[in-house]
Amino acid sequence: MKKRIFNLSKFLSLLLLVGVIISCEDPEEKREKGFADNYENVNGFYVMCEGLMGQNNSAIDFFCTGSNSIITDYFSKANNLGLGETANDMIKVGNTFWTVVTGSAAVTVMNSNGVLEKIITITNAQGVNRQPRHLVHKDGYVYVSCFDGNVVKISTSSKKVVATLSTQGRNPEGLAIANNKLYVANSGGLSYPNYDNSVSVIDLSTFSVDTLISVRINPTTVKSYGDNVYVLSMGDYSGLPMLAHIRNNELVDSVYIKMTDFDIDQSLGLIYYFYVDYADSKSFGLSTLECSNIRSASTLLMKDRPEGMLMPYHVNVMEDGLIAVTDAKNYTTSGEVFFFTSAGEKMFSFKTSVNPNKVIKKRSESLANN
Amino acid sequence: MKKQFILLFVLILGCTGVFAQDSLKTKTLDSVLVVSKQEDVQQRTSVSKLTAKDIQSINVLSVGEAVKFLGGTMVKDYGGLGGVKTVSVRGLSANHTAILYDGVSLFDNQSGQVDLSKYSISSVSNILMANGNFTPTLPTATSLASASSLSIETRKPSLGMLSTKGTFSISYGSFNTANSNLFLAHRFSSKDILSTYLDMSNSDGRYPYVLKYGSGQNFQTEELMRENNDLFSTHAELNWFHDFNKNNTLKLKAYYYYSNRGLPASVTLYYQNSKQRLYNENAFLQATYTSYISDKLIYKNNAKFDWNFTEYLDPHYFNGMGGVDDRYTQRLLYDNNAVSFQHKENLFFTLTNDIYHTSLYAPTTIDAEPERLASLTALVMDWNIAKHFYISANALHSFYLDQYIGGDKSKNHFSPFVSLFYKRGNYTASLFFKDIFRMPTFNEMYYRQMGDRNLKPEKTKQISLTNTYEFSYRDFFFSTELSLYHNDVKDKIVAIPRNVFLWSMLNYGMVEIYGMDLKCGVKADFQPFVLSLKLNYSYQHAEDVEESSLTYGQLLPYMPENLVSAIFSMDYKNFNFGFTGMFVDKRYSLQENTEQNILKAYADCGANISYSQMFKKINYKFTLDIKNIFDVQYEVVRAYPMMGRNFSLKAEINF
Repeated sequence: MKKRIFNLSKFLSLLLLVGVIISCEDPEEKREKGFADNYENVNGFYVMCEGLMGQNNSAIDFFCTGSNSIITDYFSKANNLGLGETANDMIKVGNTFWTVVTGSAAVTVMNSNGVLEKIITITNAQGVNRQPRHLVHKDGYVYVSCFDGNVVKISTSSKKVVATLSTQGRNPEGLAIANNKLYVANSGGLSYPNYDNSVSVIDLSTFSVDTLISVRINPTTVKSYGDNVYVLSMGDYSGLPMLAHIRNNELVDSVYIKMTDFDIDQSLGLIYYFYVDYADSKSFGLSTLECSNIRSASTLLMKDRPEGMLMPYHVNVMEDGLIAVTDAKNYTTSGEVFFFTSAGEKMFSFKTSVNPNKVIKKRSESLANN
Repeated sequence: MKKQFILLFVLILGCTGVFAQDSLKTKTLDSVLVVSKQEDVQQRTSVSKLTAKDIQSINVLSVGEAVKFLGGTMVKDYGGLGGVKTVSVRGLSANHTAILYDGVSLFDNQSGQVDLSKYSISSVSNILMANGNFTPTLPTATSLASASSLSIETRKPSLGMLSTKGTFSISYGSFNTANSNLFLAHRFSSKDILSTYLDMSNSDGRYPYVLKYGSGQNFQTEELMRENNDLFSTHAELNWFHDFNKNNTLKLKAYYYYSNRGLPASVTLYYQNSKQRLYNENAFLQATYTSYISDKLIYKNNAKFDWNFTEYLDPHYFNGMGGVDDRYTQRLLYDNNAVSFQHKENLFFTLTNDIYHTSLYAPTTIDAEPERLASLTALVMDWNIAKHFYISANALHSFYLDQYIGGDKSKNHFSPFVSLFYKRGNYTASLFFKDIFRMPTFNEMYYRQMGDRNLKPEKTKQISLTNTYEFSYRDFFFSTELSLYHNDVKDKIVAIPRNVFLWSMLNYGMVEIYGMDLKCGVKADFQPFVLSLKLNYSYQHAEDVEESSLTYGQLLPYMPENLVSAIFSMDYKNFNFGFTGMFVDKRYSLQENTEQNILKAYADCGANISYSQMFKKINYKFTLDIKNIFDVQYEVVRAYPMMGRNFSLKAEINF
């Protein structure tokens, strides 16, 4: 009996010693020692994958360009925490990556190495999920559109919600900033068949709604180029989508166009887009369009889907001009990302988690550096 | 066209009436002999059974909980008393199992799946599960038109003249779960028995669970409470058994069910706050008339009118109208006529026809206002071809006519069934082949944005071989059953749950399922101990064999390869001890067999002890029950955690 107590005290003192050693370490340093540490100097792309509703399987994958290898669900491996339920958008703010996770009522901030910095809860005063959808940032603030009809303003330094503003429309989706103004598409997508058709213009200096611009029903994707804003309306999915061109609170032009998703090459002033015709399982039509005149003839880069692409889902123009098109397959299995040169030639592809949506380069250096 | 439906219906009901009256006049000889012979010939399919004793050992509140122990069944359970529970058999989806309530099908044409949590076990005496054909003396055509049948039989006590029998029980358990029920049966005359059930359940369903933030081993966990999981339900039933004479009997049933429950929604990481509610009301009237017209001819009629109202509320849905308020009203008018005729000493024919009309009104989600007229006719032959050998075969013709705003669609189909049966002493062997299909449900075809009117019926081909052997050794009685089966499914429609109430439909192409069910039973009677043990083991392999599928060669979601269940009971003097155990192997929550999609294997054990005592002609009984003894954290459906260890106490009187 005596011996056992002796052993216990020895054990306890050992524990104490270990505790002292641990506490001597810098807590920051200690946290970094983990899975993500192995990828500190590895360059590549983060791929935000939505996952499937009800499965809690949203993911951020990491594709290492040097070794051509993919680490699926990188975020959860790096943090021992899942990303959550239905991620919908991701942006890069300085050296951090901000992701909206709609079903989890969260804006999740991770550092460039994929280590979680903060989960910002996006709920209303009653604790109800506002359902954050998309985000943009400017001058130290991140603006988040929420399905509950609001835009939430978050400070990038404190990572706290500092203001909330109603867009005066229903189910805000895509948003973009031009001319110190925030343009938010009110889709009304949750009240099918009574879609909304407005774009809210919010003055960022006063954080108040300037005006509402009418476009075709169900506006979803919004992107900006200089002072110009482009809004894609999906309509009720039966007819053709419509692309609207907005500048300084005015609708400049709008055209019916075979366009499912688009992104803008900021250096070239080119809209990259594709179109999925559900009746034609080959349709792809990766094309470009001049930002200056959306009525001008578009340039078809690739007519048919490259081999293996089943359901083009989103197009992402990378900082260095590469085009990444995500493939949702049948929406329930692993997805894939296809890379193209700016001229539309296929470069490579890799498998991802379920429903890949957004692709962002980890660091700004070009691919050749790694 | 609507009028034509009704006209046709009235006509058929009318005919039935005439037929019935005619048969009333017929004075017949003692037909009891015929019945027993017919039953002898017709009980040819392997039937798993939960007896009243088993049900007592399992000691649960709903049929959905009990069915888990039938063997070869997989119950999809969303957790808690109010969690939806549907049963799938031998790797086929829940839509392939016909659920019969006292001989007549329960219909849900909206989802095609009957929620078995709605049926309280207190009124149930037996639950039978048949693969292939369920063949009572005069089967309904709808019961022959499914891959398997689950038959729920309510209590019918044997009563002396002017006597009354009854049961009253109350129970209370963990998570404020209370249940009370009353059963009363009274014989008014030599010809009439009236019985009634009243059942009420209430549960706040707040149970603790551990949320794991991912699938990895070191992932963080959090202890949480299942919120908005409450249930209040009540069920009332009135049965009238009337014997016109020895050969003509009538059963009338009036059934009412009400429930109001919180839907806790799937657990999401970082956020739980569901205010969804599901409100359900169901009422039906059911009549069964049986007539032994002569010693060679039996006639039966089943008629039913069913009304079912469901309302789904979600105030947190941002549709600009203050949330979702979806209402679904289903109506059904059903009539079955069956005649069985003994052609020769060893040859029987049965002709059975079901005709029904069903409609769904759901303006917010299914604007097509679909209606379905169905007529199913089967000719069944039972032939004792040689000593020990029997053949049973039927040809089923199904006709469906769907009408909806903007069009109509009809379907004709012939489905064969053949079974061979061999019986010698205590050994039986049966082999059956069945080719059957199921119609897409209203949800699958007409649901706004999601439904597809061009969906093809899901076709199944089943082959099954069953061997049974029974023997006694000293004080022991053993029964064993081994089944091997192979199922092919073409044009499979797979439902992946998005939340409890909404499913997303996928056409899965082709599926191959093969498996084995092994059932063993031991009973031992060495007074004062009476022991009984039932052990079920099932192996099933349900695989996607559509070559163009992205998940070719992978296992189907929610289809575990190994299932084990056990029921043990022991009587000792006034005590009864019951034990149940269940093991369900790992399964996948999506079609892709990735590690992320794995739902872990689990084992769930329960036990109870009861003491009963007669006192002044009244039997008093007290039961103490513990469920999930080892407090295992598991999910049957992804992101729907099940209850941990829980207790209940029950007091019951029988008089």
